[in-house]
Amino acid sequence: MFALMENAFIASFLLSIAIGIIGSLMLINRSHFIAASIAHGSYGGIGIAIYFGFSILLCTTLFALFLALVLAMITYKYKERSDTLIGVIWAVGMSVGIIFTDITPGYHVDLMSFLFGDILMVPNSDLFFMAGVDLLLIVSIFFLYHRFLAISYDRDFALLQGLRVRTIYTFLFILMALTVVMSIRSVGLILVIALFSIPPFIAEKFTSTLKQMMIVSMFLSFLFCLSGLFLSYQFDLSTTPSIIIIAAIFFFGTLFYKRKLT
Amino acid sequence: MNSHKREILIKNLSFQYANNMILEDIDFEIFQGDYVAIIGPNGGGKTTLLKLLLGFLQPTSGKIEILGKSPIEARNMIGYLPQYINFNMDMPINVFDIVLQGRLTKSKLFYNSEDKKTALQKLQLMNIDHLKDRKIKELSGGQRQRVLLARALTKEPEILILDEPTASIDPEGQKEIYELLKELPLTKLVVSHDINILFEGVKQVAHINKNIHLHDSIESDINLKEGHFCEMELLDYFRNHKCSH
Repeated sequence: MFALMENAFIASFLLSIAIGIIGSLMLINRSHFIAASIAHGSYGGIGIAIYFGFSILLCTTLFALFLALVLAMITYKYKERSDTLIGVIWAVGMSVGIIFTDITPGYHVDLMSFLFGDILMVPNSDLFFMAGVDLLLIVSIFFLYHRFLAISYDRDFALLQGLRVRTIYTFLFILMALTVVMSIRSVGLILVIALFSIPPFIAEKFTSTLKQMMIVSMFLSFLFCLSGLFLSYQFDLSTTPSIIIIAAIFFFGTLFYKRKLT
Repeated sequence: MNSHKREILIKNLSFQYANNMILEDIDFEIFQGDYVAIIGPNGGGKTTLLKLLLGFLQPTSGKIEILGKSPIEARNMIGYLPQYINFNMDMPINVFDIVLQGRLTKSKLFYNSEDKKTALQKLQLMNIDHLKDRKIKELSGGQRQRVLLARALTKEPEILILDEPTASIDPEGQKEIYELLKELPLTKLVVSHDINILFEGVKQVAHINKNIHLHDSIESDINLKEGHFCEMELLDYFRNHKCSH
């Protein structure tokens, strides 16, 4: 039990770092729908890995990166009509995954475990992957903070400053894809988006710079994860939904509090 | 300062979009220190001309030269103030971080003390240095425009291009922006819906409605009857008066 909790604790911590950085960037760029599309679409990678017997983590990562590149290309060029395509990629990716698992002989996959994940069942190998992604995120944000800030705030101006806006934009998508993949096993692809949007949403209301927003989001998400873990342990409930419910209570609390202020 | 140095040359410029001629045969020269207002009806091509000047669009025919270069090559010499509607309004960003963006370049990852000094100077010039650490969302429309103007100036450009700098600002704030602009010793190009700009130190007026009509300052040309004028009459004036430049 203790080892189980220890991994869950470490996973929560690693997840929170990613949520702080990528969740905040996703929120200010309004790209949650895109991230959700990558998350669901990457189920295609899981199906392919199961059918061919590849490593699930590796195959899903590659598949998610592929989707991220396609989405970056499309949403950059066709801003107005990108919604349809984001939805199509979402559905096609999932369908590919389900069909491949269907035709895998003798395999009865527990789809639920990928949809909802289980933070108590995160293996050590996944923790290393998460730590690696976190490290990449931290290094990237350290060097590219001002660039991310500039393209998020005013893309035209960033172009006029001579920045390689398209490259930065694409790189952001790559980081999003890696983050989504690293979260699938722990929180599942359905709930990952909620967990990536609620802490930054709350943090945004109380901060005046992106840096602060990221740090506050990290603390909030760590708080939500730990409270959820405690709740699920205490009352024998599913972990991820417990985390989401805790986050949602804070989410609505913030809305109420802010409304009262204004 | 050589006041006759040509900075912008637009020659036989046309722009077509899906069989619609948006701009046709535009010829236009702007010299160092000029203060030009670009006016005209919605859909008349003002914004298109601006996008062509910034290199966001390419001409169908004709050419644009800015300081002897193509618009894209000349970008590092242009300060730009976009319309406020193009922004990500909700994100948490403070005034100083926005103004510093004027110092970003292709290779610069971090700001140095010189960048910060320049940014602070421009904030002082715009009289908003006390708002340095405030979240942009908390500022009034007029203050926001001054932040964006400070950002454009922090780049220390040769030419300033402004897109509707006074849209959605109260009259008092508009007046302040005009006063600040008047004092800036740069080549200035202002796209505006606000006819009042013509009485705020503008030296040349370009009326654009597919074609271009140029005029010198009209302050002496039009008598303000009891300080009031009709914008439609004024626009008609520009449509009907062709001057040769």
